[in-house]
Amino acid sequence: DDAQKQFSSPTIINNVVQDPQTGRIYLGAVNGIFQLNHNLQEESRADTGPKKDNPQCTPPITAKCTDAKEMDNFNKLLLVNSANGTLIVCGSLFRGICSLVNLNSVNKPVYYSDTKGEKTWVASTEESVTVVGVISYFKDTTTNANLSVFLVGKGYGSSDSSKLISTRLLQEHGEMDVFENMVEASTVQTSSFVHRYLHDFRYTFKDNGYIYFLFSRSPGTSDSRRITFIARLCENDHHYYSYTELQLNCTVNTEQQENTFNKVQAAYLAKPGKVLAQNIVPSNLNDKVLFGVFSADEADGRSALCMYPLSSINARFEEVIESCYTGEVLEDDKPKTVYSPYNSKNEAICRTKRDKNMVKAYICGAEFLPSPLASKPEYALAVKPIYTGNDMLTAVAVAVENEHTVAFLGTSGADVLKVHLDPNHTDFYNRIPEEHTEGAVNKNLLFDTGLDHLYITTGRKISKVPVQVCGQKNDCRSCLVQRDPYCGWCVREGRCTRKKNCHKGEGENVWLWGPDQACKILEPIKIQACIPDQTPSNGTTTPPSGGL
Amino acid sequence: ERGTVAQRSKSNVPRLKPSYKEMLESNNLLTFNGLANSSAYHTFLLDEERGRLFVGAKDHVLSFNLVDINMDQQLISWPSSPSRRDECKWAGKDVQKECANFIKVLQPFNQTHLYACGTGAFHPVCAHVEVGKRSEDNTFRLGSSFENGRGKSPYDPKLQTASMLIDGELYAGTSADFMGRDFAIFRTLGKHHPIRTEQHDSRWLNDPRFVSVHLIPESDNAEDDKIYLFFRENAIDGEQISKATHARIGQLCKNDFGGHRSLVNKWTTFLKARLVCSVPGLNGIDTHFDELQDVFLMSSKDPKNPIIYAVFTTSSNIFKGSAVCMYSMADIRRVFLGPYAHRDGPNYQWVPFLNRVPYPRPGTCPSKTFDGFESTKDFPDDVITFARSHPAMYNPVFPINNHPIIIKTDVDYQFTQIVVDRVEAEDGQYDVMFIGTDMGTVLKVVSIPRGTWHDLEEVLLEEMTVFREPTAITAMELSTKQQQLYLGSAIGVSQMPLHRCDVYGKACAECCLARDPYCAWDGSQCSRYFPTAKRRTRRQDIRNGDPLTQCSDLQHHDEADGEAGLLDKTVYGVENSSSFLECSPKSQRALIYWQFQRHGEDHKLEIKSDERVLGTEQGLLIRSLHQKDSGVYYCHAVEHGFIQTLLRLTLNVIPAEHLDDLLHRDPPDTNDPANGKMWYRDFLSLINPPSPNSVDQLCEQVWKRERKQRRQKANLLHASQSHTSQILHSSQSHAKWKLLQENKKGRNRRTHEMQRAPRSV
Repeated sequence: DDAQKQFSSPTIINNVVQDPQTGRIYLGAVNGIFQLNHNLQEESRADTGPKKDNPQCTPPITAKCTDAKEMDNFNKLLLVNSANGTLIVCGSLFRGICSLVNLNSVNKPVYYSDTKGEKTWVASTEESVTVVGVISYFKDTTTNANLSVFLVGKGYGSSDSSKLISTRLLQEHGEMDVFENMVEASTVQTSSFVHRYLHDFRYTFKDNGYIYFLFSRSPGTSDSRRITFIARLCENDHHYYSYTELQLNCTVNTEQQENTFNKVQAAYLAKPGKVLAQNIVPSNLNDKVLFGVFSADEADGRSALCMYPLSSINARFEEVIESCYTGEVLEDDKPKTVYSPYNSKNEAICRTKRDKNMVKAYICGAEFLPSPLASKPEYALAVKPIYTGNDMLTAVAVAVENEHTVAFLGTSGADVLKVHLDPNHTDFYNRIPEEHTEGAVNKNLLFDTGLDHLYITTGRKISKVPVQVCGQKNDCRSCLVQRDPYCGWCVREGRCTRKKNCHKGEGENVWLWGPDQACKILEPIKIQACIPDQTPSNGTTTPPSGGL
Repeated sequence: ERGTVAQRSKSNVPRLKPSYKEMLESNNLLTFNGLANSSAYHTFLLDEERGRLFVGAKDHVLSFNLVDINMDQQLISWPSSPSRRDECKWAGKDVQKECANFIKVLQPFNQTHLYACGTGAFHPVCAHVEVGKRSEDNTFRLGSSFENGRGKSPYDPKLQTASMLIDGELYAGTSADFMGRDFAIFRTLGKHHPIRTEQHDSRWLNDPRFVSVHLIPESDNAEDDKIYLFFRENAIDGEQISKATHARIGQLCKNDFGGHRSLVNKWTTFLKARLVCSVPGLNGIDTHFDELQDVFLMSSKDPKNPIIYAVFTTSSNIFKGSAVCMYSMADIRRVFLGPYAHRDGPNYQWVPFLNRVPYPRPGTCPSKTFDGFESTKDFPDDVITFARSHPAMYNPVFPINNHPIIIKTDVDYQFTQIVVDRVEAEDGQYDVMFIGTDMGTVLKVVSIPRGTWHDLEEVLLEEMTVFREPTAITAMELSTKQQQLYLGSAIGVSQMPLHRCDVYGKACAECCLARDPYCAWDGSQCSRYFPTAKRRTRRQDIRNGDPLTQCSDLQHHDEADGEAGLLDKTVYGVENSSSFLECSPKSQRALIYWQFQRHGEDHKLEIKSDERVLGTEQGLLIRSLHQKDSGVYYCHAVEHGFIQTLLRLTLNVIPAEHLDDLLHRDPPDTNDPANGKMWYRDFLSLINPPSPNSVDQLCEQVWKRERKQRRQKANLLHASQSHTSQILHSSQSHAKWKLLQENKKGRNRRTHEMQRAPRSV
């Protein structure tokens, strides 16, 4: 049952998503969408390309569009909408328009239209522009209806929508069309003619009424060094007044120099195990932590994993917002903690003295309060990496086993590293090698519903591999020495197993783990096992190592 | 000699410069000095039919009578709600100066209502104002339902807005967000979906400030009607957005309803071109006036081709200047049919687009006669795509004659507003410009051809102060029916007539020299010119301003008037003392020159300034009188080649020794202590000369005392003094002297007195 399963796509796989309710895997590949069951057996597929297109033409493509030619359709965005049983598919053809297909059979279209014009251009025509999305809701103020929407974060593309953040309708509503942009916000728009920021969106998630976007961008000045930001937005914010950016630093300080990993590549939100949580969030053991893998500008392949407790992120957001709202300024009347991004005017924001209660009363901002805001570099949330390595990290997934935290890190060399996130001794203890290397590990590392297997996507292949290979260790010492949170020695069965696979494993000294419990504790038990009258009564044969 | 004098005339100063007080006292100015709790009388709507001027101000809409703005005023109070003011305060705005409802839009809506919008304390709001059908109606009431004012009024009261309501649809160029980052051209109201310019595309609008909106038909087909907007915006010069400003004219089609798939609910026919108003420099570098301030369209019989008057100022803070340029619609249309501006990227130069332009040409209005393109929604995608990326024309619009018609750079004010009135005069039509400044004055300028209409001369007739303190004139409207001008500012509203012919004096020559197209000499006075009046009695010359040709057949009559107007004075001065002969014309443009005729001679000499004699604008200063200075002095005003004698003055110089004799004959009366004290004070005044400004005052005091003495002692020498000061060097410690001035009768009396003196001895 744990045999390795895999699926090969005829083209490069761009995106991977999973329906948490059914465990199905959906692949967004070049020119195709694939629906796989939890064992990666194909259930359905749909072709999305190639088709005649020219990014300069307004779809639908007709004979009037000169220079139209067969073009590949890269999948830019793939989202599962379990609420209404649809899959949102956005490609690079036809100015980045989207379609809805049936979640049970992706070859059954639910909605598609290439005639609605620019208001429905969601994704990007450019392969290098990254797009992320998250499903949310939008309350119509006139009808009070709760509309289903998804929010999109997208970098700059010369032929598609100029919106960094947009809110897209997922149902027909009045005169509005599916995928139509619902928010005309002047706060998070860049001039469509001057592309100075070069946003690279990597991750998005929802938590406690907020939507978060994780990206790197340049400062917008002559300095072209990229910076990682997390942006926060209230759900159902009709004008993005709440949009705020917080700089995230992932920095190692050694005697020689300061090494900064400034570009986030992938991220994962998870609740850490108790052992790690007690160290980094001692006051809130249930806090979630954002795990991010970062790279540096230098092309030496060095990479790092950093952890940001969500409570620390939100506390810093509140700190910089409150500083601005209450009018904290420097000597030159400039704000103390923030600046106004995407705005060429030198506005005097944050000069007004307001009450601290303003932050609580207007937690999602207001028309008359300054926005958008971005934290200054000196108010960045800065942490030290918990792991650094020379493999370029491209993906991350985090699991908890027996209160220990395990990070699975994909690399540009198609490997997946297993790292035990021990606050005292983080250790990379295992590597899942990939045969027939083809490209980097896709940033979408996913677990199956039972958290027993990992779906790893590289190039055109997706594989289902166990999160542990304890069975390969045949003796107690080799089982415990790697400090794999998944693997311990099952005394009764005499083999290396996961705790849940060891009969009566919860009992004391039945399942051994950790260096403190040396294998020598096994000797009295072995002696006890050698009593002749008990052995014949159990009816079991003696292990070969216990031969008389 | 006359030609030489004529060339010295001052052409760049106003002929008349009445002060605020003078305007009020001559009944040429009516003022409304503002409500106690209001200000910002910036939004005007002139309604000739109702005879009303509607004014939008801070928290108020007012209605004035066009005949007299102080008659039956009406008032609507429209403040913002307290919650909106609180939000405005929390945004950091100035509660008094910004957190109020500043009325920015005031447009006729239908036969009974106006449409009004205000800033609403940074939350724009609109409503209808009921005004009734006729002027007899006293209706003036704010409607009860309010509408969202976004896209109609700016949030910030400091931001200008331009708006026009046509067929129930409001066209507005304004700021559309709280922070003042989103400027756009909107069409709202009406039954169609609102239309606006592309959001956040600096190729379309780059931080614009809108000045005015106008509907100008392109042809007799209403489908070709275009909306023209005048604005200024930041210039785009490469990657970095520079701080230079460009003046712009933009165009849209009235029947633009946006594209079908692209530019949905966005203008598809928006184009813009630069308006140039510059003066060529000697080294080939032009001096540009780039800050467009106001625009006036002078309609003619052909509504398709108004003349456009535009007011500009300089962008520089060091070099202050203003200019007015005229533009023709033919030139504007030629530019919009010319090449589009194009560049391959932000780091490239702007070049004319020379490739294939899609059909129909972007900027063309859809039409039912246009096969297949009855609506902008029918436009092909390549037209829409081209329109989005090429909104600017490559060629600029140059002014008529390639030159400003007015340039002002040597003054401490700048132009802010302009209205133009076309006036019928004896020798043709003239455009009279009324220009408001940022110092609360109005310039009245007429544009006169020198030889042909291609060589215009600006003649600055008057500069009138119309507000009680220096303040920028922000609104200006002209009523041809009332022949009145209405002016708005931060502190109030003023009203003045277009013509003030009676102030040009009582002579035909003065009337002609004024060169006011409104005015003519009617045989007895300077009055309003009417084409129907009998030709024989009219005297008017706007083009040349030459009284010789217009008033020569009235020479005898003029001389008779001249006798009345010509001053004839006699002045006495003591040898070696100073004397000031005062002569000041009413016209600021006139130059003064003096002639001298020695006693007993017929020959008149022109007086030149030298060490001893100084000619000033107020008169002639003779520092040290000589005997040879006795004679008759003529003061002439030279204006526009015409010479007019203002003053004939006879100066008699008393020899120094005669003064001693006069003083000896009047020894002090030692028995009168009061007289002795007075004598002593006079002596001290003489040996301690007062400042020049108080010479007149001193002479008046002495003269009054002399009159009193004369009644007490009939035998004392009778005399009076005027405009003279001297330091007495006589060794006669008990002597005193007096300067003498009398008219003709006085002169006879003096002789008589002298004859009586020997008898008393």
